[in-house]
Amino acid sequence: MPQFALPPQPPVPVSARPALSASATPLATPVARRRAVVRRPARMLVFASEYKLQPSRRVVPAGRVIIQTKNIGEDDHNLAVRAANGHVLKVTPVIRSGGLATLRLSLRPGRYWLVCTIPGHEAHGMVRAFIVKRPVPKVVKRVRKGT
Amino acid sequence: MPRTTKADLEAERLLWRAGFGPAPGEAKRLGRLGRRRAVEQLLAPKGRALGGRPARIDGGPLDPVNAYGHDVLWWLDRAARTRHPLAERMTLNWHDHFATSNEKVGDVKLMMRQYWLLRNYGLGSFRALTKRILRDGAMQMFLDLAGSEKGSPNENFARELFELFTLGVNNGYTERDIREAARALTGFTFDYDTKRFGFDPDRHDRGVKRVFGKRGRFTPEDIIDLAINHPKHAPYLCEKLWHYFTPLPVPPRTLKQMVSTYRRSGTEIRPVLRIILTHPSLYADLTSPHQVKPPVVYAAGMLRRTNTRIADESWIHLLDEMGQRPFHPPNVAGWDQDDAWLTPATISARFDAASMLVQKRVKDGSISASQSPQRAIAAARKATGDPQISKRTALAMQRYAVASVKGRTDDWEVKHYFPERQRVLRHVLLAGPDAQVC
Repeated sequence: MPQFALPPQPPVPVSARPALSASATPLATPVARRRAVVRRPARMLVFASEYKLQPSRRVVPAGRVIIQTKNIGEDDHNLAVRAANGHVLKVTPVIRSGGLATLRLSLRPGRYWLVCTIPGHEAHGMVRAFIVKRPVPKVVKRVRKGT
Repeated sequence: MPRTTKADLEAERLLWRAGFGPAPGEAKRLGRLGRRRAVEQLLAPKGRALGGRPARIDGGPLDPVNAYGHDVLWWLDRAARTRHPLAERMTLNWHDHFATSNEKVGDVKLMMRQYWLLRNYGLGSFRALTKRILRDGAMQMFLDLAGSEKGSPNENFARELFELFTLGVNNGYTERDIREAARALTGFTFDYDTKRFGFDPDRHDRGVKRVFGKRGRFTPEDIIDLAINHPKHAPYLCEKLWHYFTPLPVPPRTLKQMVSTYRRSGTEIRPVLRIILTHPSLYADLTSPHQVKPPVVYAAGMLRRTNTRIADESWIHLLDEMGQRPFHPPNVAGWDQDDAWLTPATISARFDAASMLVQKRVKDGSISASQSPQRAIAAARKATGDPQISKRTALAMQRYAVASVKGRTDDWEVKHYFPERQRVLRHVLLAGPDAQVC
């Protein structure tokens, strides 16, 4: 079986290396080491009916977001995510009464709109704003007792 | 492995009817207390409400408010981990009684707030509970109380208050009583933007109403009092409570005793439950149970017996297919109980749920080729919380345990048929005819 080796990597310039955080200073006692945790996608659940959208939250952390829409009305609806500049980022197919649809997006901080794009529905009130905020970094703090 | 004492059987019956079934060893522990003390322990539970490990989906905790279906898992998880079984079971019973569905409310936070209302006040005063339900946001949305105003009162809540919550269908009230009560129930408001519920005196009909032959400028709370003071209320509620615990008819003398206790105590639920849970009817036919387990009880019971925690979303669909999704009752009358739980489709879903648990818990090749039929049955019983089974099932299991591996001596046969025998035995214990009733 042939052996494969990785090609040699160029040295990384010092300026491009990630900065060491203050908490990693070896002299600090007690030592608090912080480890970033991979964040799971934020979730939002939207209930659509005639003629309103009821999102489960108004503020979402930036990054990956899963938005599920449940049509609890009698008519067909859909759900689009519209940026502040009016650009529609994603839209579900038509959701029949009782149906469920899921959108997966990656959102930057800012103001966005949830809207049903079926003609006339937005004008009847099926539009709601939500805010995407920079997430507060989740850290696991481990404190080691000094000697 | 037959049951040794009647006390064990009684405790197991009690834990199924007044809870979500026994966790391994729980029936024996409760059985030692005797019937009366066991019931007292359920009526006044102490200590932490939940045990075990909470559900995790895709490596993370449940997100009932923001993830579709997690509300259902959240409820099932609490039922499966409860250490206060009666309080938790009464929450489910009250959810059936004051049925409210998120299919109309569309707000899981409001639904969960109602859950806590039912959980916190479910063993106390019925009057206090109903007055809180009157002000509950989910109920106000579900029965269109919020937004009902003088001049055009909505009758939904008034109708269900009499028909389902306090008196029973056509039991001591007229259409006029409903219309007049609806007038008294006006004034509640809800603002969609701020999500605030309130009461606006200007939208409340302050005129004189006539309800059950009494005249007055009734407020919403007065209507609750009038319904609960109605002579037909106590018998209706006591009989309904009785049937949550047993399908047998309530003996007239017992009903009289419950009604008098309920009235004397000032509409307290606990003393009525004490009468029901210590009554000999509840412990009738201990070896041939006759009440069909509601799906949530059945599913939570399996999780308790096998000491399994919820780890995927399949339970949402399984409960739906079994016919009972918490937070989503089919209509304002709640779920049809008893035999209605069992149809070809719902039984199939019950089998699927057991298959899912069994597949996860028996690893192929983990069963020794030298395992005797008796040891195989003992292992299956231990893994499923040693449930009660009929003689007929015990005999069938014995025959199967022998026949299924007879002559299977090749390596591949041992690897295939011995684990399969174990899976089938466990499946019979979790989903066979005996497992459907309690």
